Amino acid sequence: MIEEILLSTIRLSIPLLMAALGGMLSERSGVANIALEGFLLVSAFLAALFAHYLGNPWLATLVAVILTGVIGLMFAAVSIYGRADQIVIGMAFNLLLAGSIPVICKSLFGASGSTPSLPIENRIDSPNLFLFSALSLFLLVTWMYKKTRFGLRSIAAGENPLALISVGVTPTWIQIKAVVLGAMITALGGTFLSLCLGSGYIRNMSAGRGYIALAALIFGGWRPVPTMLACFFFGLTDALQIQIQGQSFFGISIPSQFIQILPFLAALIFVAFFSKGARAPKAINVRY
Amino acid sequence: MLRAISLLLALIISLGASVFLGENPFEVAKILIYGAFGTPTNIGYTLFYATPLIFTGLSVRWGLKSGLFNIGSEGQMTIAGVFSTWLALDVIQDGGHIGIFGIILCAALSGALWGGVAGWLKSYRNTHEVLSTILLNFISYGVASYLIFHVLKDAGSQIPETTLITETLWLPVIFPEVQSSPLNVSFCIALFVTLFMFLYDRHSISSFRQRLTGSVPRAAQMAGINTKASLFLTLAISGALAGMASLNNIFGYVHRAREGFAAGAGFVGIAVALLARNSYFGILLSAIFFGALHKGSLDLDIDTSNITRDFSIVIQALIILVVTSQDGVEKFLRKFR
Repeated sequence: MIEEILLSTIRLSIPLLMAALGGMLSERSGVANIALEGFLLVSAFLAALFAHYLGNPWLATLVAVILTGVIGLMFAAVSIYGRADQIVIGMAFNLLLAGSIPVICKSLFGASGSTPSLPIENRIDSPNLFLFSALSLFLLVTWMYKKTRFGLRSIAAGENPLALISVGVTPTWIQIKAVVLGAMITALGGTFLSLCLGSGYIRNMSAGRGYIALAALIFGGWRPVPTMLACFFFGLTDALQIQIQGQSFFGISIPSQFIQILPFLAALIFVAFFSKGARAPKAINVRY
Repeated sequence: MLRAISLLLALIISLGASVFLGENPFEVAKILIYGAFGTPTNIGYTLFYATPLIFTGLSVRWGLKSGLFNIGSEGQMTIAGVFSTWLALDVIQDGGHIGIFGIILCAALSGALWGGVAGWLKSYRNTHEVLSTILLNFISYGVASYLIFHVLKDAGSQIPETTLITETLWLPVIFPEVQSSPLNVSFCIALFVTLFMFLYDRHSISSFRQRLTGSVPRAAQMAGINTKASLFLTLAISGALAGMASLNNIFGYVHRAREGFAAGAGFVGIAVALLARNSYFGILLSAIFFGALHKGSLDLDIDTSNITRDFSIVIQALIILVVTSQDGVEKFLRKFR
């Protein structure tokens, strides 16, 4: 039982890790990003779609990552050049993606709202590979923020964009790169959902994971290692949720509806009561 | 003027998108317009779908005015709907028509409670309201589904729904002699509440305090305003407005609560509020616009082979994008003048 919970914790943490990391890139450069949910959803859909048509999951992953990057580019362009509230724009992107996927799905595959189930050879049946890439991406991003020019500049863009302008660097360009990169990393999480955890895309597959990832990011104070730990913690609540469904404790069985809200409740309680001194990037969601 | 242009632009983009789905955009537009306004009954349906949107639009706008973005209208509406159904089924049962006021009050109060949780977290725990309201949405779906499945479930029904509410608590249909849609009294309540909010906004100190806290927190503090209480109140009021949105479907139409009865009205409220910007009359107009869009899309679902009702969500999202990025577009255009 313990072993099962641990294994499923790791599996369920992977999309959170990817999405939280994608969100970190975007938010630390100063672009508030609640479109993570939409990015996860659309990349899960695209990966399943192309795996179905191309018959090659690796190629499908590549296409899904690139296309989600393009969507990220649109999100960045509208949030930065549109000069609107980035949270509103993020919400609009979530609606746009959640609305257009079923329409496309229906016109391609009929009324079900899901892609056809993929045979095993069209999936990437290796959670370890995804876990390994998530962890190495975390390492890479930590290194990037400490040592590289782009990393330091993107932190500056999130804290004080005017300082960057004063030394002759355009913060918008850095933000766009950070958001697109973030969207592509998030897309790996979505790909994991439909090609590894599931076998194809089903309606509303991301099921709020993008928002949980956002909570993990805030709980982790926008720093890589605490965020990673928070993702594993929220992954654990998700795994527990699945594990304790249908079991009874001391003769009392908890209704499944209450168990299903466990990850969201945990996220809310932990962000509200146990996050100390977490400070958002200063210039997040600020137009200058 | 610019807003009308951007609205048109969003519509043209979405109709253009229907070409890729293999439909004739003019045909799509025709079905949309006829479906929404073609007959008195169709107009009735449009207003029926607009009713919850008036409430959620007011709800989102009330938050925005005070600098808070309430994405939780959907959850506040869900909680309010099941709580007031609970009250109707288990407490009031048969109290005559006067019970209706209890129901309306209960819907508003339970919405306020759910919004108030986010408000409390915002003022005392400094939790960003966007995150807390999103998470509270998911929690509310669970609570509602528990109540519908386990506490109030109609044992004789195959689908997850509560037992029927007693007929004295139904909100009566209006103009049944000229139209046969479920348009009901909650539309009148929505108009009344809009008027009330307009007056409250213009003429009360409490509303001024909330707006000041939202726009210049420091100034509000210096002026001796209890900013924490004020933030709490803003989200509680926003929640109360969203809560009343649940009356239309539950007490005016199906007369019981079904799972997922909110049907996205809370999210469309965001589009309604953003399109209306600073006018209460605008809230009514944009709610009716989105109600028409919803009714039209339902017809598209039936009359075309490739377009589903989700198409209206796409149009809503495009409208939000185009309308909110107006400032940026204006700035961009000015460069070329």
